[in-house]
Amino acid sequence: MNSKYITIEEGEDYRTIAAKMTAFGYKMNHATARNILLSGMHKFMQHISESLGKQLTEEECNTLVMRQDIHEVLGDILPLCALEETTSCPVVK
Amino acid sequence: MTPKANHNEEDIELFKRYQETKILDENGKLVKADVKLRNDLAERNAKLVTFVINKFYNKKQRHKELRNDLLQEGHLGLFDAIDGFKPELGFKFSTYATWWIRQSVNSYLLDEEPILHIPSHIRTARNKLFNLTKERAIAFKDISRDMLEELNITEKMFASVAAAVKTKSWNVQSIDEPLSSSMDRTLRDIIPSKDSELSTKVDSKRILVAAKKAFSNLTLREKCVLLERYGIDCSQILKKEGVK
Repeated sequence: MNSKYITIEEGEDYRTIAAKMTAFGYKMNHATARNILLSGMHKFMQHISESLGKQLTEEECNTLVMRQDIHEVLGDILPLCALEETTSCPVVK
Repeated sequence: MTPKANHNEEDIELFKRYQETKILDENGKLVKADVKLRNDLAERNAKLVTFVINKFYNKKQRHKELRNDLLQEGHLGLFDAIDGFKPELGFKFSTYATWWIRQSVNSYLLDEEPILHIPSHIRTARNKLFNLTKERAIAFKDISRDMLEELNITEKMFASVAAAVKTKSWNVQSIDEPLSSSMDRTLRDIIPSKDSELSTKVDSKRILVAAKKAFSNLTLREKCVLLERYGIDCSQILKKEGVK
């Protein structure tokens, strides 16, 4: 289901993200944080679809990025991706 | 000092009247009774519950914490006592009700006990054995066969008690307990299912591998914003990349 606003139960709002990123040296405001998130997700979707052998169109990606369930699923996948980035051993061989 | 419960004629009369209103089924189970009369009797004897709780459940910290719950459970026991009391036998109601109240409270406490439930007969045997070890100043493992015979405990039972004692040292966690105070996820959510089909497993692995590859292709800024959005601290990734 597409929606203008997507909320997730656990996590930060855009203003908090912007403040944290600014502290890390990436100066941005809440709107930029949202734009980066959506473009990042867009890129993420495209890369996944490429790897799985099904190239998504721009339009399809844009639709997926605005879906609540996709955001929720990402919440399950991203911790595993982050874990492999920070540790030397792969989580899934 | 025991409370003065049902010593007077009026109370006995009330119990007799209540008995007359009771309708039992063929198994002797209560089907219908005068609720108003029962409530009246419960109100008259409510102090007995407080007395029993104060007398038997006032030492342990856990009992003190659960005091309100114990009082409620005690009142449920009191209702059972009112239903079952037979004034014609000539005993005091408080004598009869005390057992019901204690039984109700004890069964509640057992339900509230640790996740691994230990049966009551094992608990009784365990208490006997612990008392013995205290008396003779010996360790639990030093209990001999002769001592077991003295206490009428079989070796099989002793093995069960030893297993029950061992569970105390286990770090048992409920499968439905949240993983952390800030998360709604439970252990059940993250334990992999053995029932999932092989194809599903392969698919999810493929997706995960693809997701990891896709994630590694993002810029550091995008990674951090994505992770922060889901409440994952990205400081370690930044550290790894050499960003202060």
